[in-house]
Amino acid sequence: MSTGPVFSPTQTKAFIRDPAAWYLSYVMKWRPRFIGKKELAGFLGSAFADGAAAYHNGLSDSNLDFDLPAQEVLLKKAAAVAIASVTESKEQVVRLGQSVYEDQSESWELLEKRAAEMVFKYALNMPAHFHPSNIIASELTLPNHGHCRIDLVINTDTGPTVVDFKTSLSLDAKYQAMRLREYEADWQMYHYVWAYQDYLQANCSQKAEHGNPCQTDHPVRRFAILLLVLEPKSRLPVLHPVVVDPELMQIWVQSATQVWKAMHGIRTGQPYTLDPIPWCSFNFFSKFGREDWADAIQKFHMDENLLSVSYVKEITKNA
Amino acid sequence: MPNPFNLDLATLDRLAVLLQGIPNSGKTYMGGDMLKYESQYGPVQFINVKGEDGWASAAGMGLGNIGVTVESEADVAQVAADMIRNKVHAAVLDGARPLFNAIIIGILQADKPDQRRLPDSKLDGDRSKSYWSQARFRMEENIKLLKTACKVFLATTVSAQDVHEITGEKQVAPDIYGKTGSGLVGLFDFAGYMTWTIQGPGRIRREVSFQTRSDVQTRQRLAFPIRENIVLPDGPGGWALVKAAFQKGLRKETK
Repeated sequence: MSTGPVFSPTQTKAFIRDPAAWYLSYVMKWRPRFIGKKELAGFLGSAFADGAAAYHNGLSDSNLDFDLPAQEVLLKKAAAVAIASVTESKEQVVRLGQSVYEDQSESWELLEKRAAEMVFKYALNMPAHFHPSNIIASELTLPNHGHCRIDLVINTDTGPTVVDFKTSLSLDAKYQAMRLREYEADWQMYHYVWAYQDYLQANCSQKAEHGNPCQTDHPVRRFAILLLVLEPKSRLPVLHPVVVDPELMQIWVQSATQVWKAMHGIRTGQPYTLDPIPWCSFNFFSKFGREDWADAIQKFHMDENLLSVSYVKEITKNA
Repeated sequence: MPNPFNLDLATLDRLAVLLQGIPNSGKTYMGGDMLKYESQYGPVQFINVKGEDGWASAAGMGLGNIGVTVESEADVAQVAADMIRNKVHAAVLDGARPLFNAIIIGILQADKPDQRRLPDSKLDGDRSKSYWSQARFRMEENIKLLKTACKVFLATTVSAQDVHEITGEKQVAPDIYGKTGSGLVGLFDFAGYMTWTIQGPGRIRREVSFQTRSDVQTRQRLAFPIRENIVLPDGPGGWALVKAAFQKGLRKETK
């Protein structure tokens, strides 16, 4: 069970990418005066997640055999939730006195429309696995785990599966497989799996205290990415399941412990010490494709004997 | 905060072992021996991949009705789900190479006998690379799933000599196309290489090595690594020796 400082995956990834930028943004609370594509994509992603959660909650609250008009009402409600989320994000931008880059002004105007379209597209083409009887949790916030928010937890034959929604306005079909591969060992996904697992164990311990036997022996075996691309309209949402590699999970836990220790130390001004082997950032992809060191960590788990399969070691002669 | 721990194995509560070796080196027999030993702790499962069909090597150990034959990814997913449901303690996958073949045939949708083939750039164009890459990913996913569906998992695979593309050095690695075999070794806590030598008429000496070797891809996640070959008995009892060696490697030897 988590008892020390834990930071959200977004914040942790920001720290790993650039500690100084993280400090300015998350500690000093500076924000860029102009916002662009990245921020707008973030607003859209959050709005879609809110809308999808409203849809799932509506489905679980209602009779499954409800008629078409009732389904239409639910869809409209879910779209309204997504639009409200966009409005909230926009209000925040105005409150802070930020502006949108001129080349993104059209996208800014279209945010509400696109958020609603995404919810419609999702709801009308939802994977069969997302049937209400399979849903364990929707938009689950875990305050003790860096306030991370898990989009969906579904029940599968192999136990609970943590699902994260990824959205894109458009994506060429030939890049889809590569985009999905980028998420296969994403920091965020390992955070969700760890957090949900820890959350289950905490609940389990509470039940055991009340005399109810409970066992969670590594029940989260899979996570999945739901990739929703708005254009072209014919492209259906893709559900991409990934099995959690237990050894990579260990590397992640060790890395996260180190990173959070450093972040906490910097934030509070307390001295901290780190392990001799530094953390792994889980950045296995760049714009050039797979990083040189991805195999070393993701496939070979830093095993010296296996590293020689893809790497050569420089031998330095001591004088 | 999560508790930090050493990446070397701390306990043998969960264990994944890959055994490689040339045919007749005793891999499947060792698998059967492992299941027999581990059956004292819970249900066990023998997964034969169609095409391997070497299960007779593990017959006659009194394991009974624990075998299942798979021939597709869907079969593996079903078996894994059943294993979780039935709380299977230990499982053997025999073997990795035919599973990879089944996966790639599934990707190419070439499941009819006269259509079976591998990706071919002449037939598939640019897609052939993508097919290989998908097959590698899915192979790893299937192994990881089986690994997490039980506590003790052992997979077998035949070996072949692989040439390092940079150094040109030869190394024995699982005989699965390209780097899939090497990637596979990284998914296991232990990867052992089984060999046999004829000692005289009717006498065969079988050994398994987990120690780091320059000529074979092996692996052992032990704080205090195994340094020598483990000589296996003629009959059952090999797994007990191997497990004892693993156990010894978890602790620091004291005088």
